[in-house]
Amino acid sequence: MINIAVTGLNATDSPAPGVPVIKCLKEHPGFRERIIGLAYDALEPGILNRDVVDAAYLIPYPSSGKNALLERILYIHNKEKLNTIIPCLDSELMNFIHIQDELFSRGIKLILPEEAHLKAISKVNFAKTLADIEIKSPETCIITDLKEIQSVVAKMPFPLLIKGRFYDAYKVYNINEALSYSQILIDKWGCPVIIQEFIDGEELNATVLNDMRTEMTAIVCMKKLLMTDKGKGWACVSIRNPELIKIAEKLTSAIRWQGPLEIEAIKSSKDGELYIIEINPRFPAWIYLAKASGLNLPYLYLQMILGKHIDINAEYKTGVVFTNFTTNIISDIKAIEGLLTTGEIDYEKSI
Amino acid sequence: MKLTYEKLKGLAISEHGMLFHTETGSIFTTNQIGTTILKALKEGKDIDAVKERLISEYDIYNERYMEKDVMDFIAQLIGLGLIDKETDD
Repeated sequence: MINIAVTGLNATDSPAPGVPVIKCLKEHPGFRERIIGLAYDALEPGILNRDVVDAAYLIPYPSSGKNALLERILYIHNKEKLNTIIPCLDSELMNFIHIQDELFSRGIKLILPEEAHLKAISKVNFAKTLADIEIKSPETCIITDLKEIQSVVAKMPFPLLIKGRFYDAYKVYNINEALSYSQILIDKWGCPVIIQEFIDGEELNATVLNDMRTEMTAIVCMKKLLMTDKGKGWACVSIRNPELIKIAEKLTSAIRWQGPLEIEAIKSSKDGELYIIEINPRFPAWIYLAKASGLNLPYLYLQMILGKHIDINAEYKTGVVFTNFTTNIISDIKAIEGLLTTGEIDYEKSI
Repeated sequence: MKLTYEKLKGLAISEHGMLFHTETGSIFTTNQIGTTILKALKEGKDIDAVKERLISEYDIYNERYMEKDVMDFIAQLIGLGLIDKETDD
């Protein structure tokens, strides 16, 4: 049995990718491995569902730094004999990159992008990275001080998007909104804040798994059919958009990306061009659509990590519709008690 | 008017008139006659051949009205970006 730790187990109205990644793994025929949930909060829904995880541990927030993370992971490894970790959140990736060699020496394998590549696609740098390889993106400015906003927005017409360093985005229509939402984002995620031209159009996304060892790229595209007020795709349909696939292949090859990636694009209603609005260094929360369409990217990624040969069949079904569906899970208070007091729960042993 | 039907290649047409574009994800609905026209265009038929097919498959009351309806439908398809007018270079 292989012990696989997965992060990103929040499953609220702005879901993280961890639960669908686990669902993809567990639904692969013959999958019998143990799933260990790593969460930042005792009330992350994914770790309260024993059908999702076999055991769960709280880990320190990314702002605690790499040493705190390493210490906690080694504690968990001592109990769980981890074979691998699949990080599913942007904000934690840099810490995992910094401790991956130490983890590897203890038998925990990860396949992560290189630090420079992660920086190249960050919200702060991606526009320049894309411009260098002649891929279009909206005009983007980086603000490190609120005083700069006035001069920046004077050059860009409203509405604009104000984005946080890692997460969250607000559409703003005037300077007052721009200032107030920038302050909110700085308070929550720190500097800088990203100011981006708003491109009106249809949103198309792609999830990519790239293996530089074998030069293999698997890509699944979708179009959002229904969005939440936070702009998250609540319902979407699998498509095969040649333009987006070409961009994804060009990007992953140019930056020699290793592992999973999400590319978010807008087909402009003004000029019909495809603009890349964001690149995320992980599987998306809609990754279950890829599996449902015939390409189980999380399972292929696990095979990559384990050093097994992966045969990517690039064909997948279009017209597969994915809809989020809220439901309720019932947990014993002992699960929360265990997580709150000791920071861990083993569903097989405890409850 | 010369038309190109390249974009129709990605259009899945159901028997009940639902149209799903596999490249763009756009979804439309049409009626039975619209389905017949689109299937003919997708097969590469020109507008005259489309009209002939309609005449052979439906009880057409007035061919002039039919011709106008076909051209209106074609204009809608152009507007939706499903077919293109060929430009003279």
